[in-house]
Amino acid sequence: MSKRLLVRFVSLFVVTTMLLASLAGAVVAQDEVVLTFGISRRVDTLDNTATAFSSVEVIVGHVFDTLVKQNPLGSFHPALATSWSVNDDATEYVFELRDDVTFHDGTPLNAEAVKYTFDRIVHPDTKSQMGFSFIGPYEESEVIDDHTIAVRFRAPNAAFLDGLSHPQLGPVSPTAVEALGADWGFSGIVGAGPFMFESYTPDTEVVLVKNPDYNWGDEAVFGITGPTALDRLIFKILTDPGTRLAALESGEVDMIDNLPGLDVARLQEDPSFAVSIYDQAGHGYSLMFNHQKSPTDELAVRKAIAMSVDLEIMQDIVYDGLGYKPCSALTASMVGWTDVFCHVNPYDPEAAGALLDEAGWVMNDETGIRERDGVPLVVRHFGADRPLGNATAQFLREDLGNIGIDFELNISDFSAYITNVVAGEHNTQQWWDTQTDPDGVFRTLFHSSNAGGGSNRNNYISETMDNMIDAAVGISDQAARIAAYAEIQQILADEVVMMYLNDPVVTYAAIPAVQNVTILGGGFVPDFYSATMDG
Amino acid sequence: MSKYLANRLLQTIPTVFLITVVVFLMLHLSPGDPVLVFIGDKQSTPEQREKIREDMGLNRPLHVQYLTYMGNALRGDLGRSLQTNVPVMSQIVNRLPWTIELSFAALFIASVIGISVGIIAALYHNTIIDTLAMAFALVGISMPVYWSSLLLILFFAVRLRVLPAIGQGGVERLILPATALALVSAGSLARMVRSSMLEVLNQDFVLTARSKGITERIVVIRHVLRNALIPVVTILGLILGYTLSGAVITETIFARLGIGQKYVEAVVQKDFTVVQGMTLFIAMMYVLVNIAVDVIYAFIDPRIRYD
Repeated sequence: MSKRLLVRFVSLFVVTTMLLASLAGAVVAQDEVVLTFGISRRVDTLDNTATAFSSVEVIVGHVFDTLVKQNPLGSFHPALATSWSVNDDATEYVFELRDDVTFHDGTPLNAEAVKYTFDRIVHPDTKSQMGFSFIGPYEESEVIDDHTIAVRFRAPNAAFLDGLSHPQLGPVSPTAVEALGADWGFSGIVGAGPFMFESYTPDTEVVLVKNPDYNWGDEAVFGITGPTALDRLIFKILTDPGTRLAALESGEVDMIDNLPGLDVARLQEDPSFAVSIYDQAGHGYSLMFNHQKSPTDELAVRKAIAMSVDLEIMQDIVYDGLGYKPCSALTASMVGWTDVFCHVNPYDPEAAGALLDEAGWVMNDETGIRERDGVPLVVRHFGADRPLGNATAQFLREDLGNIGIDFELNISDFSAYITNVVAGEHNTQQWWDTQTDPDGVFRTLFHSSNAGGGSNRNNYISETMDNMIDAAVGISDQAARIAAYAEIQQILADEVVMMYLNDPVVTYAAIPAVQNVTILGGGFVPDFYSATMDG
Repeated sequence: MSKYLANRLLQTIPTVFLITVVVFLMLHLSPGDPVLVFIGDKQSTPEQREKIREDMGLNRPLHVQYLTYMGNALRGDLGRSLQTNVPVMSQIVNRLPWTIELSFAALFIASVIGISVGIIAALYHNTIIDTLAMAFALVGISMPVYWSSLLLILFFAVRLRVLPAIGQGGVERLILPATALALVSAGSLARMVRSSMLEVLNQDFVLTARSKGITERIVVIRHVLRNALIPVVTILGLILGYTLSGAVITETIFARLGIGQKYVEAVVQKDFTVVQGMTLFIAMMYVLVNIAVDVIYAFIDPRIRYD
């Protein structure tokens, strides 16, 4: 072959290949339905059973199906479990599983796989965080037959169905977990959900693809049962609010969460975007009082603080006008919510001042700070350096200064902050949480088992309260359980165990083509299984 | 030259070693506990916390921790992130190319803008052109990166929709972040080039060159610029060092993968393994850039020789 001929031959080959490749590319690109979601929070791991972040649920919920689905809050639907029964004191649950479900790797989803998942969550090596909370006082699982499983608890656990509805307890493929070892949750995850894992670039994106064999969707929740209409679901991790909004406005993502508060009104007026706002479930923004440290160990001081903060102005200034005035450790959309706190502790700075006078904290007119026996009334507040937390703390300092309390700000990086508050150095610290069952909220914040460095940084230790929380979670009857939670909220209000600053909303903005997104988790969890991209 | 290079490379070993010791000590002596950061606001028992501390290897004496770490690092195993369990090596390998790409693009843009503005300002010294050029340089230096980044995104990505706002891959995703990062450096470069040119322009050998009848273009390029560039190369090296490790804000705003952003996050989270692994890499890059700068001196200035 002459050199010239060779050159011709090669160029012809190259050109043909390029043409074919571009054609193929065009065909694929036209057919693919892709939805890209800009998520505001970071990912620690994609291991659903181990993650410490509630936001990871938004992503892994598409890969891991759950035994039951919950929507709206307090209403449970069959999913991987077709039916279930629970004994009277809520210590044993028996589930019948679907017999036609396989994980993405072909492993059958049976009672053995569910047992494997639960046992793995309580194993110390898993270092499970949210899953560990959701599974509660788990004792054991018993495989009764291939598709029947009994789950037993050391103590009553009426909150278990709620826990089960979260993907943190969604069954994992035992074969895949064993095969991937330490790379599970990083280079791969295998569940039985409507989407399959394709790739994960830490701090950048998670790409999921359609599970074409998916045939066990819950029609009552999603309106469909078969495979999803989306070929690809991409989560772009965009933690900077301005960047996230710019990515939406420049067309690089189709939907985002957590809009910058000041942009909500502008986007609502813009016809090229659809804004949706949901009340966030669980617990909102709040302030914890350390009951083991003076002066917040005094009821008069706690009550005076709770009564001298103008929450309505705070909402406008600190929370950009979004959210609601809070009246409980529960947000208003939660089962069992009462507004007793607002009746017991209304905004009344004068009455608050009188309370402090009565307790012997007298105003020193020279310093503007109250004193008792020569000791000034200093409340030491600890916070991690974050914009919202800092704005909140400054607002509190202003309002509390007006009644003669020196609200001392100690703001530092997260690791120094957490070391201090775990050691109990604080009088006050802020809290935020999202949950879907009242037991989770009360247990996290007020049960003495979580005091002394755990999540109860109120360091509130009360046998009465422990007993009430433990009793309430064992009541299977919904009305009786709600009554028990009303009593708990009465005590929390009377003793001003902590105070509440704002019941937040969850905001989303999307291009109008994005339709039929199901919002679960009481507003916090967008589910794209039923989503469509019109036009 | 090759002997000089070998010497310099050998010197990097104790430098990098010292850096790892200092960073290791600083991490462990500064307040904050990685176990508590890992648990955060979740429920936990003291036993769980102890178990996690053991798994992270933090219950052993400091020198054992350091020696184990360095031993593994020499075998190429930088361990896994304490906070996310992602292998540190893969985090670096996934991020470093993007940071290098961004740095060199920014350096290129900064050099083109900075050097040309500086030359023009010097040649038109004390005219309106000089004033305008220096005003441009001042704006470039003064404008914070986060602000210019947002302006560039707003104009080119949101308003005109001609360039993407986020991510990495492809020239089109490089232009905006590299420009934002380059503006500051371009400003200081322009001022540096201008003053250095002015200094050289006033020297006797320039007068001699002109009096020999050489055209002004050749005087400027061959005689003035070449001499004026020596301090500029130092600045370029500094800029490269800064962008390689310090493009934190740019990387965050443009949601780009990169080591700067991860590095800061890891320090805040007390993610010891990630900080140490990245420190090793950044230290080596700094040292290599410095060697490169020294070598470039020799090429530009025949008076400098390494024998």
